Amino acid sequence: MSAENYFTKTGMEIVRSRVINSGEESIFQPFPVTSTETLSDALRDKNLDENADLVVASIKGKKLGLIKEQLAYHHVAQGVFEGTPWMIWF
Amino acid sequence: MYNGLAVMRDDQTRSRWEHICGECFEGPLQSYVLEQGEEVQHLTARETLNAHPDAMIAISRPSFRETLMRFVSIKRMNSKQGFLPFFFYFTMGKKDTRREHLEMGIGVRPEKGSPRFYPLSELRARNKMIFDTLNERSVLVYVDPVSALPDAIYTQAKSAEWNGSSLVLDTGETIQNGSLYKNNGDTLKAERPWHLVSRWYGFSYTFPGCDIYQGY
Repeated sequence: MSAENYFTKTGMEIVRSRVINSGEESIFQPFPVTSTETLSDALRDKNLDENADLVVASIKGKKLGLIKEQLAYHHVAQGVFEGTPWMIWF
Repeated sequence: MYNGLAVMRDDQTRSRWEHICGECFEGPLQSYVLEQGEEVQHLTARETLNAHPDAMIAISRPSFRETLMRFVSIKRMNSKQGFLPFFFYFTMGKKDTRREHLEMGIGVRPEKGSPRFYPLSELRARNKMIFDTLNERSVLVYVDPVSALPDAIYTQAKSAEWNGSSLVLDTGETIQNGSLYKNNGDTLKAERPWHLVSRWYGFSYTFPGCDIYQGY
């Protein structure tokens, strides 16, 4: 084992030389969720296809959907709900 | 990126985090693990609305780059067959060859004991449902008929039957639109184990030596 490598709690070895770093800027910017709308409105107004694949999270008992294709690009969505910061990563 | 998986970096400390379990592997927060909430679900918009009429949605305004990438690579990467851009492979270590690299499935991680991967093909071969025991708890792994993606819940049931898009358990409970209902129609809070809908490479790199469901 290289002294520089790291083993996660699940047993995965992080070999530093194989980690691709993007430099100062992240390759993908997180999706900052600053506003939401009701899913029923989004479907009614055809802002969203009813067959769209969503990733649905529970945040303090409230369900929040994110479009899977968009999350697959951003990888991270984050925001604050009722004073509690949250983050979804994909 | 590492092992073909995205790596996260926080703005405050510049620490780097692996993005399956949320463990920091480099920087001031090394060895911290992000606190996780309830498991996310993979549902269609219609299923979500049916089960959660007051659900909210956040829609990002896609940039030109995002739109371009969606058509160039993201659609292919999310397709059934899967696809990885060539540079993903530069970050990968020795493959676990017990399953096909890009095979889809669901990995379930009990509180104790070895995580287990359920290949989608095994689920489909078993009427889209598998009753299993993990860490002495009964688990139902099934494929949602609408989203066509797998899900997992803890249950006391021993068998189930499909009734259209509903899964009727022998306890009288029903799973529909990703939610659990009593036989009188009231919603029950489903208890879900930690799980991840994933391709084999992602799960097997993250959980080296994990179990694979092969029918017991």
